[in-house]
Amino acid sequence: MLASLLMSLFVNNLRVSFPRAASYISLLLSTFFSLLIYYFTSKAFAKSFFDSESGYFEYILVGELSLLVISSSLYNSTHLIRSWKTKGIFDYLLSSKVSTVKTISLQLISTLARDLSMVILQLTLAYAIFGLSLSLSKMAVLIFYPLLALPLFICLGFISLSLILYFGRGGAVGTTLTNVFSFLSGVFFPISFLPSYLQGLSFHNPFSVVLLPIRSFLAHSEFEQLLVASWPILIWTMASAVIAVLCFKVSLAEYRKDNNRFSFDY
Amino acid sequence: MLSVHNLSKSFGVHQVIHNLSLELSETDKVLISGPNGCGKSTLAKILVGVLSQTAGQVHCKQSIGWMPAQSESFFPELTGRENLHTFAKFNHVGIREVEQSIEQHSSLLNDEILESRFKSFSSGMRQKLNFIRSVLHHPDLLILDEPLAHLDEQSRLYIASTLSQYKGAVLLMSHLQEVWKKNGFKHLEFGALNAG
Repeated sequence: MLASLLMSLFVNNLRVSFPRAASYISLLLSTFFSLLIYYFTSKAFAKSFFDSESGYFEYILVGELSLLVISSSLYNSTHLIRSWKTKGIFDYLLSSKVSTVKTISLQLISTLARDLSMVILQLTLAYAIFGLSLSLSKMAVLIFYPLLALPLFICLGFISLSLILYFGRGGAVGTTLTNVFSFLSGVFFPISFLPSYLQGLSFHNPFSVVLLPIRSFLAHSEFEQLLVASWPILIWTMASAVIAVLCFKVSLAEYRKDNNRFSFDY
Repeated sequence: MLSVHNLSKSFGVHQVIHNLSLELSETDKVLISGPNGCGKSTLAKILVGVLSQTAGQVHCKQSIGWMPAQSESFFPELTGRENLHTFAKFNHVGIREVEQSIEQHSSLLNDEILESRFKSFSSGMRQKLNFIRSVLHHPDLLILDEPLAHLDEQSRLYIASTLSQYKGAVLLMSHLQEVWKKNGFKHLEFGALNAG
């Protein structure tokens, strides 16, 4: 039943994202041009980029693609509550037998499938046109390792969604959290450029625990190290789960007091 | 079946429901009417669990089907049939049962509703789908908020007749008193209930 519900949500998301053939062409073009920007940026700044383990193109692409997968649930949770609340689906869900947590989780997973397909598209274009030189096993790690952190980012999505439910506003919560985490984890620049007092935070945030092991694996191909590095993901997941459950319970109780005080401003 | 005792609901300092009590037996058909903004929809939302009450008790152990006034509460990119199957899963209803319900209510659901995407629906088509969704899992108690809004005469007669013969209890909020009284619904004025 849940698998079938997941499929229905996935079909709806796919049709929302790609309503007609022109949408696929538009996606292809926008992906191509963003890669073009990275490619020429890497050419321009290759000399000043001193990470000897990878070129700037590879560095930025790996950061971008990992970010796309891991921030999907966090970012989409805001859109989800905005859309479902406006349409009345969220209220209907509260009256139904299936748990709200399960349905929201399924919806976040179904949007992740769309983001994963975008990652595969970007990698294919980067490989075929822009000369990205990653082996298949490295590409597989880049695509699938972030999935280990899926429960963690669903929990973060619930925390973000809970803030909106509790305060009745805050459309930018998901984007803000994504920006803070990506800034601290060195998605677009090496962490060594950050002030020393921020570098400690850099190694201890949910994006870094996923991104740094991937970058290390791409540089050294040490699979055992990759497995060892997944422990912090588990710890972050457990901590986030506890906070997410508490936040969601409290915010749902607050929402049930008055479900019409929503304003999706920033 | 449904028992409501001294129910109160406030939004900030504004009290909408004050000491409301209500009892429904297993086959009761009850219409609650009242002016706009008096609290009928709020009462419905409390009974189905969307809103919490400020004070009082609500007891209902049987299954509830809800038809909200907001008839756009569907997935816009799914067809009518796909939407029914999706929402049926929210209430643990299988594929076969959904198809049986579609067959049973075929005079209300034409191919255009079943096979077109929800985003292209007119208000009346949305309302028809909204009604069918509420009865899909054959609940013991149906709570409907303005079920005849936006509907043509034929569909109104069909829904009124279906609800009057429904095997379980029906509690509906509506401005249209005559059509429901003709179909044997007991009429309660929200203002009188709300006075405690």
